[in-house]
Amino acid sequence: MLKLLKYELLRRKKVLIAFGITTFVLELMILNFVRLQDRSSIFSLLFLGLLAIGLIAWVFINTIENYYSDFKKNQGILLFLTPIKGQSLVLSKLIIALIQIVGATLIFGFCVWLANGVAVNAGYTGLINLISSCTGMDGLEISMMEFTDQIRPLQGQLPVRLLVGEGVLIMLLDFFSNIMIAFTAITIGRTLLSRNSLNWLYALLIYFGLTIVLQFITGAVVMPFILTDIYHLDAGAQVTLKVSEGFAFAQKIILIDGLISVFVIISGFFVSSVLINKKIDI
Amino acid sequence: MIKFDSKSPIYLQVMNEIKKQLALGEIKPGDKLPSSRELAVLYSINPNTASRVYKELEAMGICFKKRGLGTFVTKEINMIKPIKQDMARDYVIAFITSMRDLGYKKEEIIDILKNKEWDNGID
Amino acid sequence: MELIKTTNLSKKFGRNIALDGVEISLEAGKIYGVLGPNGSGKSTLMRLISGLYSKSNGHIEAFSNPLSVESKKHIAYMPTESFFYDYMNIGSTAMYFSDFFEDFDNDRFDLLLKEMGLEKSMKIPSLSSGMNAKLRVALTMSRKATVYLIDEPLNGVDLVARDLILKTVINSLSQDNLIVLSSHQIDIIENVLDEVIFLKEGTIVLNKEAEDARASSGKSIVQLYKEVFKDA
Repeated sequence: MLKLLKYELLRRKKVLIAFGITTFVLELMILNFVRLQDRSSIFSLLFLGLLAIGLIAWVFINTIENYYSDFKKNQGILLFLTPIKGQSLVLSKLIIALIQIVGATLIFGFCVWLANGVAVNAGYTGLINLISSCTGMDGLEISMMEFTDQIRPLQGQLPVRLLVGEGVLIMLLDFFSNIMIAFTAITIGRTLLSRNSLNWLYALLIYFGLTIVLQFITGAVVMPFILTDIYHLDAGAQVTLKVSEGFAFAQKIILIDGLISVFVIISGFFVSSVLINKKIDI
Repeated sequence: MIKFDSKSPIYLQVMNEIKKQLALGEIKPGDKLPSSRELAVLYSINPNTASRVYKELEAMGICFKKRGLGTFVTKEINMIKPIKQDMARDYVIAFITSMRDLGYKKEEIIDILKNKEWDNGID
Repeated sequence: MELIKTTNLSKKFGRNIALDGVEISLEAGKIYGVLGPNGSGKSTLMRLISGLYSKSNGHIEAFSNPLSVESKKHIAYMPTESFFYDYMNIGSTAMYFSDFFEDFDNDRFDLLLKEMGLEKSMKIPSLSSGMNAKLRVALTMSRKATVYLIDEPLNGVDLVARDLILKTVINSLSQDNLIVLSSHQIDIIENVLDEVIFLKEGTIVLNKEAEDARASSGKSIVQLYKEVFKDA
């Protein structure tokens, strides 16, 4: 496994370096906007958004593209001549994807923390505070403050940070399971369908198909919980749920979503492994 | 490197080649012969075929194996002369057979040899 | 000792039947020649045994067990095409082989590399097709495998390299392993073969000891080949 991971990293060497440089440059620009403390500081937020999107896109595209190219003639030969089982192969891909996801998240978190730190250093309470002060977009800060005001009294009662943490984790898990679906779609395309030049299209269609099916399943599983929880309220009660119930509800949804994601990852792993072991044609 | 013909087994052709070298003195009694692996590479033949060459030569008493040291030509000089004679005999028989196939009779063959009409291409 | 056995082996790609009902038994200590025109199934057969293809029908047995991932540890296949990552150089291909194949002999590789006039620092994209072919041979033959499947090793190599490759193949044979060669240069390899297998459109049309085939027909393998495949 370690050897497989070693080669996964080696083949990405150039891309990782390019990615690192781009992120570094982007972060410098962001920090610069923060430093300027004028109207243009809004761009720091924009660029942070851009960075987030870029990271997500890069991780997704990079893992998928590498997985796909491993089934192509040249690299596929090298890989499949070696005595490694399908399970090991897929697992190494998942681990590398995980490393990239975690790495990207940490990097993004660091960039945000850095930008915020510069703002604090300049005398503001934070990045948001700096931006709304310099651009006059009070609405931004006000809505943030309203939200925190609502939550503050509850902080003793409810694990807000836990919920936020869970929220982030569930997003990562969803992303991860999405990648697993793409892997599975590619594997199905390369092992079961004809190996012509449209193979990537088949894989894409299968991917969309699987994602849609997954949406349906998730909706179907979650629906009963939504219904029971809504009907749980006393008749005549206001439609707005009490915050505490809202949070409990959110917890439930997160748990369900998490379980489904885990199920998707595990079943995708098995399907891909079996197909690779039994049906590969390089 | 010799050109093999398909009329006779390869091992026989290689054996003849070695016998020829012996008869001509290119290989001397007591000389070390290449290993069967080296022989295979030398003639671009199968290693099993090469082993067979030595096996047959050994059976004929032309060479022998010294454990750990390799294969050597026999030191017995009175093995060599018969080889030359045998090969000569084989060639003559082949010649006469071919001539007979052409329709020549024994006396005609002897005449041709005596007349040296065939002399032109050979010095 | 039988090392590889196929029973009723077939391989289909969609409607294209690449191999049909192939039955062979390969024994240790021999060099086999799989001969036939392009598309007759030579590469398909080798890829099935080496695990790059999965069979459509029939059985493959390696070392008395059904073919599995384990078998790949002792089977070395050299394909006709280049199969390296572009970012690699010769040294890293050796490192890869060394990492994933326990039977890879680094010293032998260094020796072969030197004989072939290649260096570890050479980048893969910079290699000519002849150099790439030599690299493939060097890597494959540096493995101390039990079964060698070598697909067209003499393609696109110069005369000197050809002799070198042939010599490497001959030197690799032992009583414990076997070598399967495919080549279009039959005249060059014919004398190296113990047994010949003719493949025509996915089926075996001849499977004999080379010496037998020559003796019983009075022809060279080249001539036999031309006869068998004159309509192909």
